[in-house]
Amino acid sequence: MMLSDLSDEKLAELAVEGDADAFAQIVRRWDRRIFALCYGMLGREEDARDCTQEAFVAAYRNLSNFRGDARVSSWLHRIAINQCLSLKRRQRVRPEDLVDDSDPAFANAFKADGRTAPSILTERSERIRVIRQAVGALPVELRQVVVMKEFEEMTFQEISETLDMPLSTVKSRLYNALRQLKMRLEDTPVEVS
Amino acid sequence: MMNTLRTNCELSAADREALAVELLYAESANERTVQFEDHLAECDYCAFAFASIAHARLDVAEWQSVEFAPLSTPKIDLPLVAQPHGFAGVVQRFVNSLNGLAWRPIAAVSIMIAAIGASAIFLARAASQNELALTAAKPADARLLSIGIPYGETQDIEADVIPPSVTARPAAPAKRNTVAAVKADSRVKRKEIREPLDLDERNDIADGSLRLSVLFDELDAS
Ligand SMILES: [Zn+2]
Repeated sequence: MMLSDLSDEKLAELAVEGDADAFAQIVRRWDRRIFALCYGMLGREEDARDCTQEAFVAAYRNLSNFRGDARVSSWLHRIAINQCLSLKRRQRVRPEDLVDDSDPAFANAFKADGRTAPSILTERSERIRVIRQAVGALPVELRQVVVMKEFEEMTFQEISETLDMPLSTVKSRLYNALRQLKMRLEDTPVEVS
Repeated sequence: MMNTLRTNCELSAADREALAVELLYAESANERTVQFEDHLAECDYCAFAFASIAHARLDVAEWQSVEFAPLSTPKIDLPLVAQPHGFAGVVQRFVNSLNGLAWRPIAAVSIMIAAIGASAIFLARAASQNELALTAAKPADARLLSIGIPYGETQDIEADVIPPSVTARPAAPAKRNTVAAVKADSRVKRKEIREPLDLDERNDIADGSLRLSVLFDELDAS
């Protein structure tokens, strides 16, 4: 049987026994989602890349702590969220500094459509900056749910299982996250120079 | 003109929240979500709530599609941590195999039992040592008696100063903790140095410091 056919939990079991290829398979399966999670939580590409790397390394080094009855997705998400929080604590990031707009990746994001007028590009980039700030200002437990939904594109059921919380709580948190976002965005007018 | 919300809403907040996100993400569609969609047409309160989260969702989705979607996934470099082989590997796998079991509560209870056992042994040993200390103290005090300090007198002084729990401890440290014991100790040392001294005369002096000063004077004189 190929490694790609195995469940996450079976792969983790093999990895715990020393099969490095099994862990590599877990990485391939989850790297995009964990990167999406870190990006949505931190709002800065470089930080998200570092955090994703650190999360997988931490997971690999702590394989022996992986409980056989746990879900790999829950375990990886917990590690990744901890890495995000720890990075933010280290940086003492203020919500308005979530992303450095001088970051080339940020600037490149608005170069896709060469026909768009500069004023529209500026307005759009400003809008995105405001949205990013508003998401970054959400409490962690609400931000996590909205990021898992929008960036990782997980279903309610997957979020519920990953965070080990009732489905009703997931929906309630998502609703409240979006409500709070709406209020924050209304309070923050978009300024275009 | 003042706008009033058309609402005849009987939904609980929890139901409204759940139905709104289910409809927004088109997930778990069922008869209730279809009914909720119809309800939005006649309930401004729910329609407003739904529109709010829908706008916010579009904003986040825009951020995701503009900034995140074009990014490449980072290549993960794992450290070259050699997995243990041979005996170490067997031990590691055994430890890992315990991970899925409910061994933590068992370990906690075992540690508690071990701690209680160790405490009992310690207390038992301490009690027997106290008995030994009390019996062993007599020869030492008997030595004091032999050089002229009445055994009973020392006991009385210590009993006044040291609480019973302290006196029950081994004799040597307890002596260090009392003024009487220090004075008595000094007396013994002086006696060793100046054997010919007339201790009967010294014992007539109630104050230890005076007695010591007399001894020092005699030493200086000699
Ligand atoms: Zn309603």
